[in-house]
Amino acid sequence: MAFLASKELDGVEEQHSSQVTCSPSSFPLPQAQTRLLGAVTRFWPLGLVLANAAAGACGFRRKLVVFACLPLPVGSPSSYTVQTAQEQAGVTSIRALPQGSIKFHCRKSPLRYADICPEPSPNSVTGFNQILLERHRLGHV
Amino acid sequence: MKRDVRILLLGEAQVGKTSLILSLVGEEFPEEVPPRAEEITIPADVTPEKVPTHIVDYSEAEQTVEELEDEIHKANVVCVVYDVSEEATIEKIRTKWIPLVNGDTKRGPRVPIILVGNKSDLRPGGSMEAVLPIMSQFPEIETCVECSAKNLKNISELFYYAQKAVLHPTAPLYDPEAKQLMPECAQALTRIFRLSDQDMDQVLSDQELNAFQMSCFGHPLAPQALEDVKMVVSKNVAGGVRDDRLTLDGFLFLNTLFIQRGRHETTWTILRRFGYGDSLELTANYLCPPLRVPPGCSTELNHRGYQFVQRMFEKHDQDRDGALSPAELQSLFTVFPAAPWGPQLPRTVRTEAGRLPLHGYLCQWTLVTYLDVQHCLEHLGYLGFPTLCEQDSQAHAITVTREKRLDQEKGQTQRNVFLCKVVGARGVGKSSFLQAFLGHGLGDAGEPAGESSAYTIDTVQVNGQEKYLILCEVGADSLLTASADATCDIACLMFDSSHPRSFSLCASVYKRHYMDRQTPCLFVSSKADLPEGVLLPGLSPTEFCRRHRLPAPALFSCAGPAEPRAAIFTRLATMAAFPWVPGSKSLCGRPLPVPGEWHSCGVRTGVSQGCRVGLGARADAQAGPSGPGLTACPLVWGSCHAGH
Repeated sequence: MAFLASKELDGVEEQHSSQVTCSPSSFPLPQAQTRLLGAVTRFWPLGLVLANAAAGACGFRRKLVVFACLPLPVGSPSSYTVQTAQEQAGVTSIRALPQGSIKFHCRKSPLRYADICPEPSPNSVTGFNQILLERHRLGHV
Repeated sequence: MKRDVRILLLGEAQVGKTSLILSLVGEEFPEEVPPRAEEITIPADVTPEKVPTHIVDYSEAEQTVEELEDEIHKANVVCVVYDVSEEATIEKIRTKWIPLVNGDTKRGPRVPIILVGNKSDLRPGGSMEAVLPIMSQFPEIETCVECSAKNLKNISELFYYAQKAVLHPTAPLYDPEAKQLMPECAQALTRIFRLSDQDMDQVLSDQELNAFQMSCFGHPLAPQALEDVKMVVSKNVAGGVRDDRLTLDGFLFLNTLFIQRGRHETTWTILRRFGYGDSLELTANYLCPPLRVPPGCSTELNHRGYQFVQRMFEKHDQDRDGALSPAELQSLFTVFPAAPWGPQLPRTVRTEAGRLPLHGYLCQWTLVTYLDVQHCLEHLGYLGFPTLCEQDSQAHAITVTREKRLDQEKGQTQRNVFLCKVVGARGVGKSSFLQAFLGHGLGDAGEPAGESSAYTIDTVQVNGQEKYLILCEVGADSLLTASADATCDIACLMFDSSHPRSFSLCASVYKRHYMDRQTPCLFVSSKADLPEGVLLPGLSPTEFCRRHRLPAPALFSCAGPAEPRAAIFTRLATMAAFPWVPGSKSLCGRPLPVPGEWHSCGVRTGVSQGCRVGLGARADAQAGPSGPGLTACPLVWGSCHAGH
């Protein structure tokens, strides 16, 4: 079930990523080949790798080679990738976009009513009604 | 939910931590900043989530390692600030700051982290590409905000997401790596589903779903939302919707989906409305709401409480036979952490062939409410009373009665539950007396199995009104110790007429606790079917009672038919409901006459020497005047005995 939920999500995200990965030369290597490359290049001197990478592969493959030889942390074994719920200008978050204003008004205004924030509308979308906010992402309109 | 939020800003020197804080507070970019900002508290009303928020700055130059560790320990969320134009500061997130915050795994759950890329004005392209792998590596990073203290861009956003991470945390709900609900979360939601499934058909109908939405969010479901919910669920979960109704799998999927969409507050609102705290356990505030019970007052379920527990009974009485079978009782208990009522139950209330009828069920609730109101509140909490009845707390299901002293002064009571302590020496037949109250005779074939119980409870008609009477068995010895609590509405002092020595123990208890005449007393001579023993020198029981202006000892026997036995319980309940205090005024307002004479309201009081009144066969014969006079002066009647 959770898998299905993530599949639902992945469906959306794959569309994003497929637009990014365009050049055929930078297409990811099959997994077995990647591992082999990692095993081979790990024992090369760094300079050789860089030279080889600069001449031979380009784009993604080159990055892979460099990654394989540098002892960078590999991340969790479950090959987890962060699943963001929104990407607005300058914000990447697993949290949904806020519905209302999120401004902090720490400085008191000299205007009399400027600091009074109207209560959120009583008809704001709450609970399971929020499924309506997801309509465009769930793609079933 | 947290009452306030403490945000700590960390990061390399010169990335702009202090500038960020000062530009939030001053709403303009500070040209000059101190090495470290003082701790700032933002009042609740100017923050989007309406919680007081403390913002704490850090300066490597000004603070020691110990101070830093202490601040990390106190923080609810850590903002790791980097400079988007300085790659070295990005690298330090992974190599230095996150291990510093969450490296010590023994510290328990990881602190949520917000990555803050300051100086976005210097590098419009942004640093997201470099930061995304870090976000993937550390699931505790919820948000990355690129902002500019100089342009005042995304400053509120960064603190908003920091607040969110604390108020609606991810970690207890959802495992982002496994992409599924945490087991405790699924368990809590399952319990909530069971409580919301009012007809026990394992699915939520439109009506149930709407009631659920109303009680959790205060707004009904939009018709389109209802359709969308079912559509999304049925599209994604096989068996998520059955007969156009939402199943448990569907309900769990829906919560998973909302969390994955970053709407954690939806699931958190549901959980909190049903009493769960941040650790996904029912909070003490929810289970033990404040309820003041002053000394001398008792606790009873009110109509709302009875209505609710009866509704629960009807919900779980699936075969509609008016009784809960062991399996049905088990299903009632599934929303409890452990079965609330022990194996004593069949020997505490009336049961029918191993099943618990509504009457016995209500008796048990009454008993728990009276004896241990905290447990009662807890049990009502497990059953979801506040949510399902839309009340603030379970305290609304309870009536705290008037102080007993006032009842006595006014000569009337609003109470419906009375406690009778059955006091006697070992072996006088207290347990048999308690069981006889439930209709179990000596050696009855129908006597239920189960552990022996110190309490029995049943209803009794008192002047045409149904009252609950609790019998509590107390060893006479235990009442003679220093710390003994003899408080009750009526004391039933039991002795064995075939063992006259057992009477002297009762007399001692009487002298020690009940001589002040605040509590009505009835001496009961048990095993009345057996021949009387040899009288000891000194006062006979009858003479003792006469001297102390007490009703003469009542005879009781567990042998023989049940019907005549019941009269003694009516008598006890009547005495408890209308406490007779010898020497005080009677309820009709006129002074009591001396024993043995007719009272002006037409009842004769007291007893003559040698009178032994069995409550059995002669109970009817001894009845005083019936009709209006009975209610006008029931106390005097309660103590009056067969005329001679």
